[in-house]
Amino acid sequence: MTTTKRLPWAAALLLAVTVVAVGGCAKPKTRYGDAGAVETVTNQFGSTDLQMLAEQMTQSMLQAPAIAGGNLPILTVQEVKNKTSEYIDTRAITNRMRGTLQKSGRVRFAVDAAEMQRQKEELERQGSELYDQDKAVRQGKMVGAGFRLGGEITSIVKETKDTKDVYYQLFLNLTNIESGIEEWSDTKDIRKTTER
Amino acid sequence: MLMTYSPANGHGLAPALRWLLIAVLFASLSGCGAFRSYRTEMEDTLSRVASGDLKGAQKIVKRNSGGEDTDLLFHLETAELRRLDGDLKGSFEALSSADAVIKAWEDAWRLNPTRSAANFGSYLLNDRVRTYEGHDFEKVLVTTRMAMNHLAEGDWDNARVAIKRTHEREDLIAEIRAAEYRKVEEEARARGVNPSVREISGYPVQTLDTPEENALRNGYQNALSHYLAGFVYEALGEPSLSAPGYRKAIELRPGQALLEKALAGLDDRVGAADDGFCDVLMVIETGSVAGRLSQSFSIPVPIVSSGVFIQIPVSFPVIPPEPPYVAPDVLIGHERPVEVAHILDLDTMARRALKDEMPAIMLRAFVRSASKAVAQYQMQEQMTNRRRSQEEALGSALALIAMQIGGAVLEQADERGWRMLPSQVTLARVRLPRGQHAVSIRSSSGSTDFDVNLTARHALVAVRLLRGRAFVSPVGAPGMAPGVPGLQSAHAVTADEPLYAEVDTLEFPPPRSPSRRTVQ
Repeated sequence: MTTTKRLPWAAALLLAVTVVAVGGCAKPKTRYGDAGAVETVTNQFGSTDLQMLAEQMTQSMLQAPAIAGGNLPILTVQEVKNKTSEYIDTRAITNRMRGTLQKSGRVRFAVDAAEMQRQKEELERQGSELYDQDKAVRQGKMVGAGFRLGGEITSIVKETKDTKDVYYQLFLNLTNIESGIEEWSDTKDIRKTTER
Repeated sequence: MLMTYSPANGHGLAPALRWLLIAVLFASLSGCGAFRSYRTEMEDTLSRVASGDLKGAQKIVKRNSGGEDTDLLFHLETAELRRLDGDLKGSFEALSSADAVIKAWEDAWRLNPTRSAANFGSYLLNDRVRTYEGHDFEKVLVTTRMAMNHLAEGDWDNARVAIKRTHEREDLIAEIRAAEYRKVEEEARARGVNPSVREISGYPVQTLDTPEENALRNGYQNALSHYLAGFVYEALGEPSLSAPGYRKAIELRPGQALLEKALAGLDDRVGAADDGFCDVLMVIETGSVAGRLSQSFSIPVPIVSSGVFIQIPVSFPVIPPEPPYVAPDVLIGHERPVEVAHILDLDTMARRALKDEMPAIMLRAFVRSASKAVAQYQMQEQMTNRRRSQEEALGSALALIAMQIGGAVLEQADERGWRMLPSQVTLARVRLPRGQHAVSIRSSSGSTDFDVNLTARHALVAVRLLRGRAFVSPVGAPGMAPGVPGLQSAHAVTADEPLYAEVDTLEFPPPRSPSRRTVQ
């Protein structure tokens, strides 16, 4: 003889309600991670791309004769144009490069256009009657850069129902401001493909 | 659509009574949610706005919702009403509460992408008992609105934070929806259901299948948010972030010269020295977004074992057609026309949201219908069973009538949506010498005149034309001193044939005598 036991409907309802109630108890956990670890959460421009591009470009630039010559050239950083449709803060790339280049001790940086307003304000502030003028910095002593660093980032996005392919290309160049001669340029590429 | 269901072996009235009991239990647990008509409630609120009673409108929203912390719609509608009432701080608080609810939704999705048991009641009663999670375009507009409030207060750095969060939210929504559409597709396939509105006999398909709706890239991205991002990043001297904002706005709203000029002239504008001019962006919002309406349809549900079809009434949301929109004319000094661009059609986005949600709505409706059909079929069987006494048959008939009436009353489509949002948004952008200027906005509902006092290189002015009323924000400029006055009303003059009700001059706070106001 076989006996089939059926779950009473009231018990099933109770079970469903319990599942809903228990489901709400899960809590997210927070932990610190390695800032340099490879990040592949999505295929948008991310921290790994930023670090990789900045590192590769810095190493390439340090080999350029204008930098490797050892006469401590002064550079100014221009805006790297973002020609993608993604909100990529290109200053984060150039800031990282700037830090590494400066640590190398082979270049110096002059105030760039974005910082100029704040530099001017500080000079004017120190020039006011609030400061001891014998100890305050004087206007007209700023040193101009010999080279300007600029460039652009572009992307090509191809997407189907199952695949998304993104190709980024960063182009940077270093130009002698006085002569207009391009002393160094390089391109670095990244391709990211996501299968759904 | 074809959905089949087999009844269990007969157990008298029990299955029908179970259905009724569970329905009553859920109806009581969910309070009045199952019976609330959000459309009716918001008509009441909008009428108060039209009569100038913004405080009264807020009270209605609070009374209807209960004002609970987790009620997203309460926060959204309150935020917009407070904004129009000149209470930017209060508006920001309400938006922050709404944002917290949306963040909880995002976190819940990250923890459990399926979340199938969370809205169990909607499979039994109707979609009105579902927790309102907001339509995707509304979620994106929460942070855009937060940014606009910050801009009106001169806090452009925090506006930048809100704008950055808008991009991040868009990305997450894209991920969520891609996963959800796949799940609905799989479930529909497993149930042998084709969840297309074309399968609902009599459904006004044309309201969801317009050329404008088909031209939308998706149901959550909007050109206004991205253009605003471009403008704010530009004002803050960040062209590498500004360019994608303008670029995305062009992609989402192609063929608008004003948007294309913003991108083409970006480098020149950012590199130019200060020439004493101000780049003014005016965001002109009109009306209130089209709302959903519950409409009843009848669908046949087959009972496989007996080969019969049971007609079950099912309600689906529809969005009635709206009159065509004509962008307003903007004049400086009463004569100089300013180029405008119709950047956002929220009516169409609401239709797109409904179209995207319909497969899931239909699946739930058919699950509900199937259980009702089985219960109804068993009742009918009881009535016609010759072995039953006359008394039992009468009891079955009465129970069947009760169930049909109960089912019809409970079967109501979800009409909820952020109705205080505008239906259309037009941008005007012009370079003017710093100082005071007269601005006129002429629309089909009349003319609105106000003065702006421009003091910086960039400025943003938000104007809302709603049911014959005009609301003008303070001029928001980077680095502006905090503590600016709240939203002020402009003097609105009726056209010969006003679209809305009689237009009054509103005095927001505090009442002042002259009809023309200078917005600082």
